[in-house]
Amino acid sequence: MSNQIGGPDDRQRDHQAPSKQEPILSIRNLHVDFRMRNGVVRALHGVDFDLALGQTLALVGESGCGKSVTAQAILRVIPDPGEIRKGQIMFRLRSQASEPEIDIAALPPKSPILNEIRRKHISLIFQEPMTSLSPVHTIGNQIGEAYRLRRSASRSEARDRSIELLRRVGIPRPEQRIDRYTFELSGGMRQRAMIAMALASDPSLLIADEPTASVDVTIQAQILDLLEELQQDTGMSLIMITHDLGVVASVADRVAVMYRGVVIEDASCEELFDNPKHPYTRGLLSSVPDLTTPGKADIATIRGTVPHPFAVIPGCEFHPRCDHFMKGVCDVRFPDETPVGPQPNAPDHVTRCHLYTVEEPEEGSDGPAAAAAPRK
Amino acid sequence: MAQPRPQHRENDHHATPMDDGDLIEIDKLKKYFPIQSGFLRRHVGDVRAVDGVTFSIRRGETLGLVGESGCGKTTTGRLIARILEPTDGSIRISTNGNATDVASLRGGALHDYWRRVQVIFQDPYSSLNPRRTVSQIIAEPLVCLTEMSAAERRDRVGELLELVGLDPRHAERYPHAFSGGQRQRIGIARGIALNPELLVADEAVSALDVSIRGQIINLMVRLQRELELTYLFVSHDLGIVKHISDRIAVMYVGKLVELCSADGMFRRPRHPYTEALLSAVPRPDPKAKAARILLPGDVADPANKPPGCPFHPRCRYAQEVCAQDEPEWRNVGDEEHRHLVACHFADTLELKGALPAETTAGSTQ
Repeated sequence: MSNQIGGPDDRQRDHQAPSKQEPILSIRNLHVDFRMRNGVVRALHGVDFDLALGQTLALVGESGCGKSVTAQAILRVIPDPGEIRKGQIMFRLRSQASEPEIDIAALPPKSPILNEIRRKHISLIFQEPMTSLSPVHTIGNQIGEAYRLRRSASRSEARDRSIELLRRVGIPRPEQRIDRYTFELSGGMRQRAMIAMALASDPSLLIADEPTASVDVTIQAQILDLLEELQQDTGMSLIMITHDLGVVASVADRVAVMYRGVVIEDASCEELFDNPKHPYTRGLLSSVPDLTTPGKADIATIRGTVPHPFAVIPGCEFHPRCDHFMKGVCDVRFPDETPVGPQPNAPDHVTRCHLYTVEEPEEGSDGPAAAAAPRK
Repeated sequence: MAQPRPQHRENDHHATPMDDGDLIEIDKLKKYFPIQSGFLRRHVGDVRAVDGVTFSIRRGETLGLVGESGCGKTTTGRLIARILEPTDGSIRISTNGNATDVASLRGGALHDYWRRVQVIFQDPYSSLNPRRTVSQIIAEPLVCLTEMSAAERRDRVGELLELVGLDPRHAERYPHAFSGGQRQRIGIARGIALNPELLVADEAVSALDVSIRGQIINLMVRLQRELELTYLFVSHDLGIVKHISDRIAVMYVGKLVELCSADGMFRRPRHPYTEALLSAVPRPDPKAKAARILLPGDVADPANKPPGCPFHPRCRYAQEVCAQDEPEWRNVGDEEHRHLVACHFADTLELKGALPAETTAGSTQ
């Protein structure tokens, strides 16, 4: 089938040709280890993805799959004892298009460039607003501070700008709310205040780590709409970390599905939902009950549970839970990234699964043989 | 496998007949939490968490109770489980066709009630004592509320573990050795240990990952079939509630706004709040970028509710009367397929559900 996408939306059309667009962020073979007293947790081992300017990428997966660690790695704020073992995080500063990309992974921890990236270029918002907002400062102080870190501005300028930002994120009566403390605001309002703070530095990349997991559906709808709107206004890129496939479907241009520290499938949003390839992705999609099925029919599930983080699984990480397990293949070799999209060889839909590589075992297997691999 | 249900103590509470098929009847149930202030801790107001709800739970059904945080759904569940004592109103349980009022139960009679009504909690991490083994956790209700011997309890724990899909050989392990999904199975095993009639599942699957959530829902459905359980399924996740429930009740700031069959609600909601709630559920389908109805503002403060219909400040259909008169809780379906709603304009509004409205409004099946 062709890669036609129904919507007249411009943003949707952009990602049809991601290769032509300069990625703002490009992660290659990223490994993060947590060296604990009683073992090593390989939190990430070989994460690859690209993010184009203005695009929304959803990082999806269950708890412990490494989606939050990926976000932390991008800002180099991985908690101890985690560390980047190898790999690259290439980031392009939008303002300096002529400048070469910066490898965030290679910067020394106290480097001024790293601080500048955190201050001006990449912002992070969390699930729980109280973890990033101070309880003893007014929200105006906090947003103003973020703004003044970006550029030299007087306090009154920062205050004006903060009011403007609060209005922008949909907080009514911002002139009064700006002097409130966080505990005086409702959950949805706090989430908005945090988004305002993240936007104060006018970032080119916003990473939202489960931004709606702790709010109600009606507030969630407001926040998702707000993020989409802000993105259209500012042209920033967005990484949305979530486990909720409904959220993914409603905001993402591109989706990277993670399982135990590896991106196992990466495709455009429509393609992923229409044509999932990896057995894990399929399992995830079918374990969300469909509203139209008459009640209480069994929900399809993925058997077993995610193995313990210390466990070292040879070959494909998913093979102990996979219904298509091939002995001697899946438990031996780590699957390569294989293009499985509608256009052979195009990297717009890739997966790591031996079902699609087994025909041609050499690396970089391409051509019709791989594309014609078993298709369910 | 399932032991006979314990004989209910004959008690002297007024016995009035109850509607056939109803297990629990709740009438004008209220729970106010006092707000105290100042040095003398004077009573300055009330958080009206549950403010007069009336509904019934039928024997063998799953009643979904949905709403946003702070709407009182958890408090309602806890009142029914009698973890909390109601401020006003009645909760009646059917005992051999007669109704027993449980709002005022004390002592032994309350223990009897707890044998019939048990709870599964949301967080499988904080609801299990980390210092006790799985067998101690599951046996706890047996120790407290029955006179089983240690050997009987051991057998029952093994049986329960098997029933919820855990290995009985793991009974002597501690909760930390189990994953989130397995812990929730332990919580369920504890919930069904006494062979209760009603299980109040308070956000029982909200903390679980997608693939595990399906396993637990399937387990709950199977147990309901095998043990003839009745569920009150409290959740904010409408997709899951639709899947598991026969009927759904929607709460908003301490009040019920709508109650009808799950299918009927998704096809033709009658309350504007339900409509907005349904439209806000993100669907796992990129093509279904539905027009979300964005509700302006925040949920009303349960300590300081707007007059009239509590939803009127956010309602796009609100008219003058909505700010003055509180809408009556009434049936807009027929006698057989009751569709209860609290909205002045339930008869005239044409609201949009999440599913195409092909069946007639309010149909149960």
